[in-house]
Amino acid sequence: MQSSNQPASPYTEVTLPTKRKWKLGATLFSLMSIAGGLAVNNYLNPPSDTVTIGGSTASAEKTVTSDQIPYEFGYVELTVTSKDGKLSAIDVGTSTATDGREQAYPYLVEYAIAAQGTNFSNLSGATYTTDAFKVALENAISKLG
Amino acid sequence: MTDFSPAHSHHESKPFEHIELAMGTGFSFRGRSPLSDSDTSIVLNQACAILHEADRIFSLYKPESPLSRLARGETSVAECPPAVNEIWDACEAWEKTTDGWFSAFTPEHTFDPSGLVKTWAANRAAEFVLERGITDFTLNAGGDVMISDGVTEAIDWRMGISKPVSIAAEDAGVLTVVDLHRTPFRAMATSGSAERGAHIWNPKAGGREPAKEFVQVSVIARDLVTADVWATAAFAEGERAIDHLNRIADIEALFVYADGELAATNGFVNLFAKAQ
Repeated sequence: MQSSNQPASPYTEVTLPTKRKWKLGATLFSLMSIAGGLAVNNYLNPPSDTVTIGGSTASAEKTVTSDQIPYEFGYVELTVTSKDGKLSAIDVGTSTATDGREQAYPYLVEYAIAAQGTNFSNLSGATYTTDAFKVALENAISKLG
Repeated sequence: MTDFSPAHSHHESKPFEHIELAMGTGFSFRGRSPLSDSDTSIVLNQACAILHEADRIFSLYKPESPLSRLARGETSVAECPPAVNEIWDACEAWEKTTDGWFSAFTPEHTFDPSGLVKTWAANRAAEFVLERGITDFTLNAGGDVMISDGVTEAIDWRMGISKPVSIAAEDAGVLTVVDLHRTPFRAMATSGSAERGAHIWNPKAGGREPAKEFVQVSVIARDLVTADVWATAAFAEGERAIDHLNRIADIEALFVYADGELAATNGFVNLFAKAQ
């Protein structure tokens, strides 16, 4: 769902360097494969404690919707469901974004549920969507009480 | 281990996280504080006031900001808050340092320091936090990350670099991870066209010709502003920035081409995180 003309997934297959500027060569690539694998694992499964919402009294299912959190390309609004004190579902159906940026949300949702919290690593890059997502998630969690 | 001198008898540090939306992006302070929860909260709120104040002065999206008034010729630098003069001087100095590849002076000959203001303000906010006794934290300023000297968790020395696609793209994720422990480096900034389109223009081309050769440049430096400025400059300069940055001390960079191919400065290979 990219709008640019680059290949859809340049990092899922290893392309050996051919140009002179690629001075670091295969060493770099193998190091990156190792580091990248760790990174993805760290990103998907950040070392976080399980977030327990509502304490021991929250045995019933509870659903709340966050405020609309604005960001660079639109807004994020999350509907969060908790069951037995844990997040059981996060719905981002009403969030807006331009240029197919909606595509990220299902992944972010999976990450959030897998991590049961918002403990992402520091990531350098463009992080607008992630930050809005985190703020909306925290807002919704605070409403769960 | 058993040093009971006052300097070391600090309270147990408590983890904290503070996310602030300012300047159109998210700022995230994360770390461990020796202060009470309420004092930590006060310090972080005061630090974030620095960000909002910078936004109030420098936003070109707000028609009544001093910088908007300056751009319309309604006021002079001398009449603006002192920070405007400071930023103006810093922009001129960085333009010289980068051989003109970083420029706050637009093709329309107006002053647009937004490329510097975010990390400049973030750096000031971080210094404020340090001065107030919180020395173990990281700050993520909308994707530009700094590490304080006193971080105690190994994970805080490691930073991910996004793939050069929008975080919303199907294949969004982490390109790689660097580990800055036992290096002089404390910051990384990433410039790219993934989230905001072609927002960096080539200051040496006539008109607003976007720089096209790289889709992303990540620069590692000793401080956040240096990393940010060089990331912007290298993105604008294109392929020659690799040799250019190899001649600059205390800078390493990773470049991503549109076809996904990578390049890096000579010392970057030493910074990749290693398997434990």
